[in-house]
Amino acid sequence: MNEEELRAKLRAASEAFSGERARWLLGRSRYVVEVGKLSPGEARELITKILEEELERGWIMSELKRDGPLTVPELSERTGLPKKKVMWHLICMMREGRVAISGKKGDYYAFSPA
Amino acid sequence: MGSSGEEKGRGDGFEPLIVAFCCNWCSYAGADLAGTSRIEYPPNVRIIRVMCSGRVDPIFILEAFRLGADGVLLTGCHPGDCHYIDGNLKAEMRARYVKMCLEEVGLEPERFRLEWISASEGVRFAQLIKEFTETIKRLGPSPLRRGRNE
Repeated sequence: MNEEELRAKLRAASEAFSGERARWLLGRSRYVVEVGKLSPGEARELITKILEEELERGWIMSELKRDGPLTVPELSERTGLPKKKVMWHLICMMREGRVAISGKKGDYYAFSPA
Repeated sequence: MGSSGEEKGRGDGFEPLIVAFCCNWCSYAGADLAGTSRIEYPPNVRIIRVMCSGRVDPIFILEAFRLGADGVLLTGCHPGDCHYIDGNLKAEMRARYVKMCLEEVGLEPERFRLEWISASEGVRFAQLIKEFTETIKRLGPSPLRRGRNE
């Protein structure tokens, strides 16, 4: 992995930890376990899953912030994630108001940070 | 980051740069004790005093790596001794996920370590710095070391 890619991934990890979803879950997980809503193992599994998702979304976000607007195939090429997954993340991020469609590039919609 | 001391080290052998976040009430006092007791430990560590290990956001750790630190150390009070009751337990939970994230990103998780040091453990602090410096030397320089002066 080259230096630039590693830097982009670290930026993405920072994005992941600064997101509302990850912060809330990290902050509340002990309470959620204490009141018996989740077992410690379940809580750990959930946080891991959400952090992995947020890491991928953070990576998409850092690419958009750096070189946006970008299309789904462009993002897929840059992040190495399948197009289907990129699309799914973009839809979730649009719903959260983090990204928006800002135009078109050929046949594809281009996305930018909202 | 970057000082003349480090630059000297680059020529002959690798001298790691370690950023240590120490809590005000225990670990920083432990580091202070190591100093006042004249216990020798490697000069590779840069200590940042924080009020509690729970104050250290995962972003601080990732930012230290992004700016070229070869290793990051987070030290706090022993469980049960936290000045703010459970700040160190929060730090412990975050540290687990920071390690996971480092692995995902492609950095060795051993470059980050969480340890408990009390105010009376000056010897242990010095020993920890020695051990951690050796670990980082074995791992080699961080791939982001070149961007250190950014």
